[in-house]
Amino acid sequence: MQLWERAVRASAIAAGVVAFVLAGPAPRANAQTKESKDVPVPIYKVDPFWPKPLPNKWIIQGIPVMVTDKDDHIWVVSRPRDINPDESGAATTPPRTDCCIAAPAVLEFDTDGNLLNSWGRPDYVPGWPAEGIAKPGAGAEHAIVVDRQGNVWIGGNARNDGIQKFTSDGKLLWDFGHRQPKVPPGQNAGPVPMNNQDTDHIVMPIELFDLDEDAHEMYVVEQRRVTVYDMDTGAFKRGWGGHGMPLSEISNDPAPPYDWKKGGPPPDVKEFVPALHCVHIAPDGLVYVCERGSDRIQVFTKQGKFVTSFFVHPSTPSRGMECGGPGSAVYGMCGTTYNLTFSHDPDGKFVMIADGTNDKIWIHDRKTGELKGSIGDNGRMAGYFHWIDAIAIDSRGNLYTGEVETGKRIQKFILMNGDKTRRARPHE
Amino acid sequence: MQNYVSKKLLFSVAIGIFSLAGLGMALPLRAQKSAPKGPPVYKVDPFWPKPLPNKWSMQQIVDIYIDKEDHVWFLNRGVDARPDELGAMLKPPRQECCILGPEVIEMDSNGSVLRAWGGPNYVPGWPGRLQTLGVDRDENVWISGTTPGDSIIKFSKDGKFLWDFGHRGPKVPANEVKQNNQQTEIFPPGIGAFEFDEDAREIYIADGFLNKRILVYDMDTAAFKRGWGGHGIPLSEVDNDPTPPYDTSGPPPDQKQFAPALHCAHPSLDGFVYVCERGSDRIQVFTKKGMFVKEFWIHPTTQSRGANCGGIWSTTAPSCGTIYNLALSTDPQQKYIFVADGTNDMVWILDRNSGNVVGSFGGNGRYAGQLHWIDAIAVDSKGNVYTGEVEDGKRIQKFLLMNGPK
Repeated sequence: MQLWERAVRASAIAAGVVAFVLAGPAPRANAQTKESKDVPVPIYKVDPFWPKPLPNKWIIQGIPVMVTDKDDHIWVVSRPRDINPDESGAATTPPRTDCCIAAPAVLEFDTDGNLLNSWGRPDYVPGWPAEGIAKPGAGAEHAIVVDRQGNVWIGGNARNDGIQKFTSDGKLLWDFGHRQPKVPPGQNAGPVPMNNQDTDHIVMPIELFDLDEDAHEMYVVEQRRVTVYDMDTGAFKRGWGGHGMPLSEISNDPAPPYDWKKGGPPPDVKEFVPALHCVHIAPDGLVYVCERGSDRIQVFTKQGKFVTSFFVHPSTPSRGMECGGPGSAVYGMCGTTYNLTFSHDPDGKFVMIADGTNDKIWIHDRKTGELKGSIGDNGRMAGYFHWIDAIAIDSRGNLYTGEVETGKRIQKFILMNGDKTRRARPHE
Repeated sequence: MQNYVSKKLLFSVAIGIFSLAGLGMALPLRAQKSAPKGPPVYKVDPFWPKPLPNKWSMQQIVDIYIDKEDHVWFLNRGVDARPDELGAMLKPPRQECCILGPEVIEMDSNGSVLRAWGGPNYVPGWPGRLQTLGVDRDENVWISGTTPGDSIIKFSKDGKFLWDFGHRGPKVPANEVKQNNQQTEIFPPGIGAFEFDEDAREIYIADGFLNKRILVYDMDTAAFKRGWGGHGIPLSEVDNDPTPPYDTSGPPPDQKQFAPALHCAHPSLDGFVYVCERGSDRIQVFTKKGMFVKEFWIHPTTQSRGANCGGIWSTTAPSCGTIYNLALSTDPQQKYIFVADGTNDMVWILDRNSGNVVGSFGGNGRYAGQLHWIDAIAVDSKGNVYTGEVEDGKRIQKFLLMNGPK
């Protein structure tokens, strides 16, 4: 582990802003099959002038998640409540500064970076994420998926949040429900106790989800479980915990801490360790779960059978008391698996993982879990990241990233060694 | 007042190119298009500088100075570094990146680090909160800071301590420092902006984070030479009262006394001194002896001072004032002034003679060519502009002159 860490550091400095490949540019591992030999580790270069400036003095805010749709449009959640006074001087009457006003919560871009459509804001419709919450911290918009019909699914991570389905123009179509009961006015809400057996409710909303449209199913990750619902009726279908354990066996106790100072990796515990920060279905139908609380990716069949797992930069503390959230003046944050997407080749040979703690995209071989390269580093220049949280890929293999905390950017990275084939995999 | 109105009109033309400015480009105003040689046009170089070595974190770039070799010296102020940027300093490291790098960095014009040194406790008296850096003709590097007890220290370019300017105030909490515009022995709030006049072996200090005056000292002996207040009033007439607020529905009033903060004092080649009076959205121009010559307001619809002005990290109010620093163009006539406006996150390009805005670039944001709390600005001999951002902007950027002499 020490060795690859050092290699990563050296290359990161040498290659600067663009991607690099570990151990030389041409991965010709002799033990690999003919098919995999033909798929090079993707190399990326940032497009520093993407996207185009927003109209109406809008300024983009924290970007927790983004997806592409079947038309290669990039859908972005920008959290309007992340805005600071030094960014919103044009929203006062009279305006105090030339710029800016918080952009709407849902932004649709084309691949050239033109804004096509925008809608949504706090309290946009009843049940919009983080109802009645003025500032982020207690929850905000946190997830977006666009289905084949062009409908937009939005989730939040406040106590009472659920998942809502809109038309592409922002008309509310359906509410998934399964929300926590509302706390009567005047009563202290308090924390919701963990309950991994309750499939009637989303218990601790992180609200990351994905759709399996062929099967009309919706995959949700929260607490220590993956749950699958009918995406049309909202009916519960199945669920599982870490390593595929049945819901009935999942503990509702907090995950024990561990001593990260020993260099990692985090202990290989059977249970999922929150936060679970993504769920995505790979081209071959396997289900990939970001287990940020263990610096780990766990892989399952759609029925919940455990297939494999691998750690991602596991010397990074993944959980514990010494984990800072946004704005923390005491601790850095924890965990390395914030979100992921699959590479552009037909099989999605590589998985590209957004690591908001190290501000890297790690490129791992999806089957072996082996680290193959990385993109970016901690910083504010073009091609760097500050709290990368969102990642998506278009049909040509170009990557899109979003940053939260004070990062507040979306960026585009051009695939430099792709096969130029159009291969659309919406909402991956 | 008429002058102000015309500037406002010009400004509204300037704002028309704002959306393009977001792309990191400033285009000349239509009116100047037919002129034989229009005002300078800039385009950001998004890949400048090269990544800092050794996992150094880029922090608040509070000042930039271009030396005679066109090397870019800047202050990488570390006092506002956050734990999410310093995870590689811990044992064992908890993140891939970064560590607190040196606070004085020299780069060549390609953005490669040449020298880097300095930081807390580097020498006794290292400033608690760095503010200004200057490089003299002999390649010595001078730095200052703005916590009580800070002064100016002179180093060789390799970071060897050479001389302490002295005149230090007591190390007391900042809120215990009182205004006193008459004594010239010590700088109780520390020393903010300074600049050399090397022909005269003088150093100009904008003593204006609390006080409201310009002071001139001998740059070799540190002996006090002269000083003045707003509009050139003698030090004896500078009041020691807080500056009153004003009705922010209009421009700041044309008051005689300087309104803090004073954010710069830069002598020009033709013998004038340009003072950044951020508390009035104004540049005041003096002779080197302190005689008032003229003044320009810059974007004075922006609130310049008052109780509802946020500092960096404020969660309640935006910042105030439009003159954070300025740089004079490097042509022999110094035809233009580049004003760093950290409230509107713009660089305003002024005709130095008329004070009219003839161009701009920037825009509030985190993309290449946009700015978040621009506080530093400098121009190299080829006319390229360098900018530095503070608060959570934490960047240095280079803007290439697109229509300069071939």
